[in-house]
Amino acid sequence: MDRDTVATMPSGRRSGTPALGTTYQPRRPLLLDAILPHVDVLEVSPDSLVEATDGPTMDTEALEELSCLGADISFVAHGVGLSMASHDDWWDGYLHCLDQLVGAVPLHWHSEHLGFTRVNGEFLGTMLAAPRTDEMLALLAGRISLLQARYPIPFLVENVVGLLPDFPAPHSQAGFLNRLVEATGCGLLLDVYNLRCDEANQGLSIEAFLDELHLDAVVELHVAGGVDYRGFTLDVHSRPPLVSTLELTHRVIARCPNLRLVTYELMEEAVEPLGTGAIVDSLRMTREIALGGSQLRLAGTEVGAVR
Amino acid sequence: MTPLTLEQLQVGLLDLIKDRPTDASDPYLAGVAGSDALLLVREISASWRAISLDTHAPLTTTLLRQRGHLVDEMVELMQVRGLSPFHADLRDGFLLQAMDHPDPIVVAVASFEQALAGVADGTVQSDLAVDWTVDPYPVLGALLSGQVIPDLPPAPHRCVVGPSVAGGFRVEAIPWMRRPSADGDVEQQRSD
Repeated sequence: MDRDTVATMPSGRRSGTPALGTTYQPRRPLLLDAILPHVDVLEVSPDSLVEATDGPTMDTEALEELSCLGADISFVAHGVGLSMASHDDWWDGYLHCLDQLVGAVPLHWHSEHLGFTRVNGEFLGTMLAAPRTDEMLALLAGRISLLQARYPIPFLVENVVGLLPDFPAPHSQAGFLNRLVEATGCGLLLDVYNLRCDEANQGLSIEAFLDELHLDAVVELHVAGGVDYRGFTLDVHSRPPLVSTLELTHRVIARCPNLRLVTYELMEEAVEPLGTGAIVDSLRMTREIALGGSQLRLAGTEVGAVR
Repeated sequence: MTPLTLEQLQVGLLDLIKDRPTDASDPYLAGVAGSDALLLVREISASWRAISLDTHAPLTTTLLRQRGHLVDEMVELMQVRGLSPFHADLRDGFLLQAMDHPDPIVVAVASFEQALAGVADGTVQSDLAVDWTVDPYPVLGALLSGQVIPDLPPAPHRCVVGPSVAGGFRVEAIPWMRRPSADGDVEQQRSD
């Protein structure tokens, strides 16, 4: 990712602050009206707008809705189903959907999870984190290069929670991300809530992780809220973010010189149970607690190359 | 012990999540097999599918839940090799499975819902007939309002579902015919 590319990314409402975004799936006009005054960026998952495997295509009306908004808001794409860490193959259908989205709205960048949802073409029913082995590192580096060649926009990879016991591997979480960045020049999407989950479930030291990670590669942060269930903290992204998560986000923002976006991430299935008012409140809290006070530190920061 | 290859690791995890036999000799996979986290992953996976089905097949999921069969149906569905992450595929697979249920009302509701979905998404081009052993209106009314389905007497009905039917479907009572039996009495016979 070079200096010019990063410089075109969205920025916040105050000079030097990151932008605020949220996930949005079209066909929710009331929600859209409510959130637009509060956000600078909409994050769209192309594959969440696919109804069936057979000839996967994005919904035409959804694309039209997004394209009509183009002048008023910025967009980034965030994939869920590419399954870029599958040992056999990723899911090509995702790329067809992303092609459609790229053709419909201007995207600042696109991102995917460092995980897999398919094995030998079979859907797992969940997403598992990529094991941090050298074999996986080589596989991912090759696939990231293919994505970078296919799309003329930056590509970011996101950390995935580990719910199952950690597979023995030579790289730490941060070290694995660093190696990927060094090998490909990709950016990082750091999910702060996922760090909270890994802290609770796997004993991750967030401070040690942040100390080791090349934070200048971090372009976007995710914040979210989940649930504690049966002794685990789950990344279900179905609740407002906790104040403690937003305070952690605030501290992470201060350490990421090339950060451009903080996104409140919410599962589509949670929109109705949570309600528009709570979603707007979550955005206000994110702007106030996570982004508040970051102005002085980030103001005037040169946008450097992200490796 | 030879370390697992990436393929062996991922296939092993797939088998564990799908509750299929896997190589228990590998210490990592054995550890996962005995973990609370694996049970949780299975539960989370099923719950996401259930949320999708609540939205995309609300009549059938409501009925199965009322009758205490939804968990069994979900367990069976989750082990299907062709399980899809996409709502319409998942709905179709679930409804096809429910059409094999021993309860004739479940079969009728699932068949009816599948036909309606087909009309809505354009895959059903001609009218379809769905036979019921009871009057469908009290059943559908209860499901739509979240009420328990009342006990209903046998009353054969047919729903005709199709793109040419005003409102998407119509209900026809199937008349009972009375005909003489061998001993001279009369018996009721459905007029198919």
